[in-house]
Amino acid sequence: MATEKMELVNINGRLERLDDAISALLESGSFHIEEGFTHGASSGYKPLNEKNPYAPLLKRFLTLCTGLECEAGGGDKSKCKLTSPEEFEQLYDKIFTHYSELERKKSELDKDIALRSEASLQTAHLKGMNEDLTRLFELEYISIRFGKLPSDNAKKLEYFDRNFFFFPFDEDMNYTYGMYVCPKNEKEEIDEIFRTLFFERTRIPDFVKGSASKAYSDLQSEIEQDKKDLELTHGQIKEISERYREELKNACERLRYLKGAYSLRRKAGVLKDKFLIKGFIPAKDKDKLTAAFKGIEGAELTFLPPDSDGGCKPPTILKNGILTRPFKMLVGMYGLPTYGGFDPTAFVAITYSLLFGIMFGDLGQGLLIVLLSIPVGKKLSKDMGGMMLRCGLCSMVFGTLYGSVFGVEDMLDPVYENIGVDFLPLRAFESTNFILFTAVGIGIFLIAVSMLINIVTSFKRHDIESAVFGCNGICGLVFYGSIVFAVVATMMLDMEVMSGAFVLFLIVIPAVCIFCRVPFTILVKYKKWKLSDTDEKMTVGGFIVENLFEMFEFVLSYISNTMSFLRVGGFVMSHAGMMLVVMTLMDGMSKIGQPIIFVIGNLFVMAMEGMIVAIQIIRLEFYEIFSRFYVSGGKEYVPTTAELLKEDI
Amino acid sequence: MGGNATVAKIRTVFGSALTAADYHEMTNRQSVAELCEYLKGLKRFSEVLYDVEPATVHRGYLEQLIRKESFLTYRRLVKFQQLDRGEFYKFYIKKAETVQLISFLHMYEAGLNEEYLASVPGYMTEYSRLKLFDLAACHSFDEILRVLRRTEYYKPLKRIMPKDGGEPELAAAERALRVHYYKRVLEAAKRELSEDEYKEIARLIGTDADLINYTNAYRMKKYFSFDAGQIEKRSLPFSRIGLSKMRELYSCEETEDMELLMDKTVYRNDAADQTIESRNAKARLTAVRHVIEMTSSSAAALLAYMMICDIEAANITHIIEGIRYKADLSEIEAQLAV
Repeated sequence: MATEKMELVNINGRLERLDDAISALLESGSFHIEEGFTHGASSGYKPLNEKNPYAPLLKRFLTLCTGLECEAGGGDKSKCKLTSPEEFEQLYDKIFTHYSELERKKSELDKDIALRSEASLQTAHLKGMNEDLTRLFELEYISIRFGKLPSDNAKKLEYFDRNFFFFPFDEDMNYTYGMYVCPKNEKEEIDEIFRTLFFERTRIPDFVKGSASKAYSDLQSEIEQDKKDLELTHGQIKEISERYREELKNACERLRYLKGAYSLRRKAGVLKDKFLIKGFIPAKDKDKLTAAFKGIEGAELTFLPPDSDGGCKPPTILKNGILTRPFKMLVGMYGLPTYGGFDPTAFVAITYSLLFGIMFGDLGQGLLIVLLSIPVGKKLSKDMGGMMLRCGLCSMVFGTLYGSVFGVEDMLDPVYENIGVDFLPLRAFESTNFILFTAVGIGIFLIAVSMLINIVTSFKRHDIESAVFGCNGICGLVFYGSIVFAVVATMMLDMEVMSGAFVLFLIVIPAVCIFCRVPFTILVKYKKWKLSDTDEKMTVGGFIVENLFEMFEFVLSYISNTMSFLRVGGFVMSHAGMMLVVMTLMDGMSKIGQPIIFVIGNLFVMAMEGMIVAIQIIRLEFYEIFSRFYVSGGKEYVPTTAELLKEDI
Repeated sequence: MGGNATVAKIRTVFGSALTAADYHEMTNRQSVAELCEYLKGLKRFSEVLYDVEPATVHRGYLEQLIRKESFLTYRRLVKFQQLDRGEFYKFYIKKAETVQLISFLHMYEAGLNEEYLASVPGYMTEYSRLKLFDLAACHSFDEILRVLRRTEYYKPLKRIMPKDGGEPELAAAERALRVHYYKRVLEAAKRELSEDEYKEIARLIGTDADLINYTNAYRMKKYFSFDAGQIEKRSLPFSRIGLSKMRELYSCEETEDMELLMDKTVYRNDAADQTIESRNAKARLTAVRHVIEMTSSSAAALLAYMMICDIEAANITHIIEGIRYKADLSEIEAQLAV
């Protein structure tokens, strides 16, 4: 239950070999890089401030790929032997020369189609007018304007006592399309009126000739011709694309790698002609890294203990076996443990699977979850599939104990009768008290284990307050355990345990220790009596008030956390209850309807209750268990690999 | 009249009110076309701007459509539970009519009857009984009164006609129309709503009137050096903080004193670098937001929400003007009530 052992690595070398060093660490595949320079220091290693020459090149190549409609991903960088930006420039120019002429032709055609389509759209609104457009524009004393104005404003035209006519041709949701006619010498005034009415003028291009209908059909055939030409151009572009597709893909992949690798230069610290790269590596990969650097002259690797550099915190890798590994997803959700801290994945794996099995115990439904875990693991998430597999198996085990198969509670009765086990199956509604008390018992056990974990991990961190005097430390465990023992003994076993000594030594003294945990810790550590380690002006009154509230909260949390586990028992009964509803509904159906209700009911219960149970257990894990011992704040381990560099695009 | 569902609906639409981030996005647009494109992308305006072509739309029409959206929202909200059967809930139509009449009087005085005709929002004619287009043909006050003969606006305007047969002052006519609007809304609220609802409405109207009076008084003091009596004569006789407090405000010697006095009231505003109009709009916004969040009255919620819509429309108009005249970003933002 620990984290993977790491080593700090310092890589020193001559600046001209920096790219080789970066290639080597990328090859090793397990190097977690840190910044090799110091911020703000007047001397020492400085960052490299240089422009990445591959970034603009990659952009140009990607644009070219888009233009040629070929995918920029999925190439093989090893097939591209180019290295320098100049070589890439040459390749780009070679392909672009072929492509640019066709691209120019294509954009001209696109523009032409857009222009004619716009004109065609406008002319379509004028189709109601059977006049030669050219003739209209050439009239000597009359001015004509085509366009549209908001239909609301078209209503107002009749109120203007002016020398103009408006001819509407068409109308849509908001606009009326048409033309107005006015004497040329009053054109400015009439234009102004229409402008205030938000008339949007349409300029009919010179190429639109004849009547509106003829102009419209001419435009349509011209658009058709342009579209054919465009298709032809597309075909030619496609030919070029086919010819250079592989070369482009490989070049893009190579450029991505080079750009990423070059960007890592920013992580290096530079002092005169020397560079320094800092980072962490799992101790087991030390030889691999050394081997990768073997051929690089002048590069020197120094392996140090992970905590030897105060400026870099070692990253955390959770180390787990095959059985518990999928549950690291849940631990990651809460926050990674610090390097060297306690990794609770195994504890979560056991408790989560067991609690799920108890709360969702059904042999048939558990089997379905196991079967479902296979596609989920393959298609969606490997960890999720793994968790479902383990939870499904536990559900099957507890389903067998409850005698429940797809909600049919008596299907396993003959099996138990044959093998002569008379205390099984455990029926939820016949053993209510047993189930609820067991649920609380499980809660008490898990809380006590959480406290024990806290005590051990706190001692490791030399945190005396948390290990000894804290509410989850030795005093907390004694206090909580004694009260639980006293309640169980008095109420269930009829034992008289609340003697004066019991109360004084196992309840009062631990409570006082928790109350005074801060001054007691200071006393143990520094042999001094102080009420607070942060507030110098803390008064006795303030100390008592503050700690009274905290004590109240601690006691309340002991009670509420314990009672919270009642939900475990509650869900056992809820599952049985929901299946009972399904069975009752089935009874009321015809023989054809019964299997349908059975299947739908089972699927519904599985989906709804399965989801709720999964969430409730996460809640129990995070609030009732993790909160007692878990210290997060760890840094994620991100190995620098060529694949990872791609994401930086 | 139960209107709980309307309150809930208003709170929902209030949730999609424009945010500071929206305004920031808008002020960063380089042209009216870009702004129009952005507004089309907002769910709130997408329908009303559906077939508007951003590249060619006239900025005046864009502003009109933004106001139309407020009007359509009002119609949807009052129709939701058939609240429009009550006289009170017609307040937004009355307000729009009052605004149109005042706008007409201004243009009439400047001899811009045709421009007025162009500026009347076409959608108003569907909901208003006023013959707004006929007003454009009026060339004397008697003709205006003739057009308004059978409407509720006839009496307030007739009352201020000078006995010598001349024409009334524009400021007096504007005041008469505004007073009439507020009075009618308050009377309808008293008649149709509960006591608590009436109080909420009176408070909202008092807030609106206070801020209009303050803005006008500030301008009158700053640009015309009017005395307290002259200012009061032109002010609205409604107030949330009390008419005596407002009188105290009018009698301040300097505008700085007015600001200090207002800062001691509920309209306190610490925002720096803002115009008096935007500061007051912000104070109005704060007050009405509070009402929407707290009220259980559909009448108060609707009145407050429509005030927000008006503030938003005014903000967008400022942005459009700012973009059009290539104003500095900070200059545009100083005019916004956010």
